[in-house]
Amino acid sequence: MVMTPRNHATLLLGTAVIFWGWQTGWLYLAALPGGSLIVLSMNRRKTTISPETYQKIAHISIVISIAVIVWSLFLQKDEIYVMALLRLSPLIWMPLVLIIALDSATRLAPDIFFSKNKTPVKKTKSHGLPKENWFYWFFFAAILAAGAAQNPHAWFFPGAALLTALVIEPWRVRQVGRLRWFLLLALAVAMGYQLQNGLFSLQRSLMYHLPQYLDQWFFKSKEDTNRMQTDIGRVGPLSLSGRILFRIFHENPLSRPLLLSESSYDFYQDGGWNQTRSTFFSIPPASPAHAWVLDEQNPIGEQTQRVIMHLTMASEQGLLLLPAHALRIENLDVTLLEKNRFGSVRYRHGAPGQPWSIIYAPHGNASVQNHEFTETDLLIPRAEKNGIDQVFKEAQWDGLSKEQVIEGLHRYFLEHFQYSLNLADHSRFSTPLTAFLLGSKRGHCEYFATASTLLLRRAGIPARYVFGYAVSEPDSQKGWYLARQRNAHAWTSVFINGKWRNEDFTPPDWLQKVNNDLTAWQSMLDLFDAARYTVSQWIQSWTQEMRLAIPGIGLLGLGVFYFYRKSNQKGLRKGNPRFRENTENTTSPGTAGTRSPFGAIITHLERTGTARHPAEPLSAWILERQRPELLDLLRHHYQWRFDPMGMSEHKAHRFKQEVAAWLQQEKNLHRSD
Amino acid sequence: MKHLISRLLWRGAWRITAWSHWFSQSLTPMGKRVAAGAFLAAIFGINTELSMVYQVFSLLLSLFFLSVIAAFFTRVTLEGYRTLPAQVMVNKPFEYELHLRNPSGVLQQDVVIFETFPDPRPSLEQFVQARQEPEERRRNAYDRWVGYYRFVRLTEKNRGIRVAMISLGPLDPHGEMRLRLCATATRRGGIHFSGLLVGRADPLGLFRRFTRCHLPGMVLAVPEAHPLPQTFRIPGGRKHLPGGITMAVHVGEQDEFFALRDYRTGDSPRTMYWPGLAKTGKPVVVERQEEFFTRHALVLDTLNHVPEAVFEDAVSLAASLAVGHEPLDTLLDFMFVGLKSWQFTTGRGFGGSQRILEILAHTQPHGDQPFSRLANLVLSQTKRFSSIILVLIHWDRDRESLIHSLRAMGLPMRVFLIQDDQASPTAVAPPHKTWPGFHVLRSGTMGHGLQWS
Repeated sequence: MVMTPRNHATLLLGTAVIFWGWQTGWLYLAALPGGSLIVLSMNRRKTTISPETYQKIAHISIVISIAVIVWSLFLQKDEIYVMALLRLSPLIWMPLVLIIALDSATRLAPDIFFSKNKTPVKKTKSHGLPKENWFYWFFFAAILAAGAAQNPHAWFFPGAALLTALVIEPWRVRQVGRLRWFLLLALAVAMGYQLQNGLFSLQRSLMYHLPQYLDQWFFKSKEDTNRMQTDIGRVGPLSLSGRILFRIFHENPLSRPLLLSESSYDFYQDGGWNQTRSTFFSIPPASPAHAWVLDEQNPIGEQTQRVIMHLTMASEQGLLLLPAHALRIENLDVTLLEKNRFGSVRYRHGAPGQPWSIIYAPHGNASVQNHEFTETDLLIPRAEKNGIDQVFKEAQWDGLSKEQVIEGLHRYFLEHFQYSLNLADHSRFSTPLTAFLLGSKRGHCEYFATASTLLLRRAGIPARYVFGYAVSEPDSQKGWYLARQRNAHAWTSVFINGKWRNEDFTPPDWLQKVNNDLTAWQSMLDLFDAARYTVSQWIQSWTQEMRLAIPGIGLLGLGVFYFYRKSNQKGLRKGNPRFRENTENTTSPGTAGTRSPFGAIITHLERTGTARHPAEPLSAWILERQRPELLDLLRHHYQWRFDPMGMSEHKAHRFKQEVAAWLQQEKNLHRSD
Repeated sequence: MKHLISRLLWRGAWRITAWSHWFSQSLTPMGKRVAAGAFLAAIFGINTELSMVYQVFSLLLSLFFLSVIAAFFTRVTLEGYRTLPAQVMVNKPFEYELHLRNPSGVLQQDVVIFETFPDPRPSLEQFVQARQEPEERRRNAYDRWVGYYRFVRLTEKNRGIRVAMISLGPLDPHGEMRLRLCATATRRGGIHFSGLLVGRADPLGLFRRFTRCHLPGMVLAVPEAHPLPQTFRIPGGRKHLPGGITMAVHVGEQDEFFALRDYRTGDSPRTMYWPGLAKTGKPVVVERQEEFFTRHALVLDTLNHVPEAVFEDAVSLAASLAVGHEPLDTLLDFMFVGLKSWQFTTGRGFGGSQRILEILAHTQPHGDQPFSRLANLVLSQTKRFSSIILVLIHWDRDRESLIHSLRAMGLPMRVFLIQDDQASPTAVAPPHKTWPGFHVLRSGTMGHGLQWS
């Protein structure tokens, strides 16, 4: 059965409505209208709906819209009202859609809903838009509303892509085959997926870096690495990106996640961690070239391990990711390497794309952090004090040794807390952290790391918050591991027995939960990333000469292609007998009067008299100017401009001469005047 | 400063209309929906952490982007020529032929064609001058200041024609196709075609790429002529002229043979029919009837600033009178338009109405000239015609004076005054209630047929 455009649009709209219900969790609301639309798309409608009924339905929609606006603005508190309004918008237009679908008329004009006149609106064959046009607009409205779901399903993107593909399919150009259409569509979907990942990362990055840039700009701060803004306090689901950030090679297989720290922080306030008194000191370069010694007192021995990092460095400056007890860095092509007392190692002017090695002692006692602590490492913010005190008393950790407190803290979090990326409203508590400790007992690594740091401080143990990445996912090549954006992690650094030690209090199932929602799409994108990585590795292996030669070859290829296209076009023209005849015997006609010699006469007449109105024919204008002798030349001018066969060379030459003679005559006349 | 602002507004409208034109031509209906969807998704999905709407944006933007890229590989080249009618009537759909040939060896499908015209966007001067038109007063202050609607109206007026997009069926390799296209001229005068845009959407069907085909052409759009009422007679029509007036060249009274009768005392010897006397022996006279040939003059008043609709209705009425009187046995021999006069013999057989239409097609208002000059021109030539029809666009002392003068000469006459509904009352009341030959017509009602009492 061949489906009419209207039925096709109705079917897709019904499906989109059900998709909206599925994504928003309101399937019970969407099932009936969506199902009705699907059923209607399979039947031939015979019902005729009067304009009065349309207007009554429009009134119902207005009432629903008022209710939805009031609810979104005043009654719900969980989200921004615009999003709530968008999510609920199908409820507003659903009655209109149903009545349009039920009506047998093929066209519909918008005025049918709002006509104040009680007399029936004239319905003619050509009046209004075809129904399918309406349905396509509602279709996109349903998809947008589904995207505004509070707890979107992981299948949102594939579902939206599939429905969009079905909508645009009837517009497929028949000149190309279905396969090419499908490949192009698949490419567009893959691009869309990458783009949405990129947008998400961009926003995260902006949210992270923008305050630092603003801080730098307004307060002229030289340091941009001394603050870490966490997601503590955010409500709702936390979406994590699966984008691959870097790859590492580890000599021995990793039995547990390797923690690569970027920096540690000592001062907590309003969901952000800061470094106080952070001054960077340069690390002198060692030999051979591009080698840097982080700890001179601990020599490299058998117990040390080597990690090769493949991470694209920022060109200006950035922080290195280092495992605990890092001793030495090799092959790091930077102009300057600095470190501060928090273990942040900052580079300047890094060479992008070059892998470098880190040698570290997995069980050593060396630390990039200084072997000292300050009063700030024991500070508990006033806002968090009550919550921390309450937990500490409940857990009965008073009087325990430091090791016992650490062990108790591990057990306490493991037994009473859950790792979660979906965070509840915390408005009943004084701070989000207090809500985490005393209320929900659910949170992500930033909550666990912050809470444990402050609880340890409450026990008199100096502690710091550490940010970095936990690497554990093997790559396709043996010995290589990859780190995604979602592997970003926070943990605690504890000062015990005169040295800083890493303690991760986040429940160990966090990695599994984080990786749970990795989709099949991610696997496909990983393939793209692997290909990109291979190509970039290959390009890195080019010699300097090759790097110079390749763009030249590309340009040469483009030039050859351009000339090939040009010569092809010429060939086509030569193959056209009509064109050949024209080029042999005639002068090419001018365009829009600009190339015709008569243009000079027009200019002259305009300069010496009244201008010609745009709609006034040249002949009438010339006669009005009392210049009938120009009519013959005008005829030649029209031939020059409009005759598709053009004008013979001889005639064109004579025409030019006559025009020149007339102009000369005019000049002489003016002189004599 | 004022000029600078006008220039900025004009430049802005120039750009916006260019984008709008490009948008409407280059995007397919589904492409427009995808673009609009992406735009809305960009607004609602600006915060990627609030919702998944940004994913819709990414998807639609990628589709659109790939469509644009893919469209650059969908070049279509066609050759062709157009057969246009010489004359068309304003606001009446007309048909013309387009012959197309596929020069390539590839079957061409889903090809669309747009007719193109010389850039119709108004010049700065035209844009600024249009501000003084009476329609401006009907707009709100913001519209008057920005003037975008004015720019659009002038653009459409300059283009002067409406032609819809044409979707072609499959065109075989090296095949030919003949299309009958329908267009409507929306203004009088010469309407120039510059060429064709031949294009096809990308494989996804969202974005079109065009190639330009240079194909100039021109049609002359003459004013719309409305049917005259059945009862309408031009004043002073001839009566009982045997043999018709096809070749009549006389002006005024002329004697024509009617019958023979016996001589009666007092008959002029000049009327004696001598062959009859010779045959019958009785004096017989030729009875002749006084005949009256009328040569009409048509005066079209263009000498006042009036709304464009009023002026166009006046021109349209003049055209209706010029071509609509053909079933009647009259001659429209003189025409006064603006400050010019033309003489041509028309009526049955001469086909001069075409020339009248050509003149009317190019008629423009001359609001800056006094009506007295036209009045003097008409009065100086009254001996050359026997009746007159005046189409006026305004009523004042000068026009009243002309009417009085013509009536004093005993010249049969009909006067049509076209008035706008919102025209302010004139100082002198039109005499349509006291004089049956004076008709007041409301502007905008011409389309319903010329009806007057």
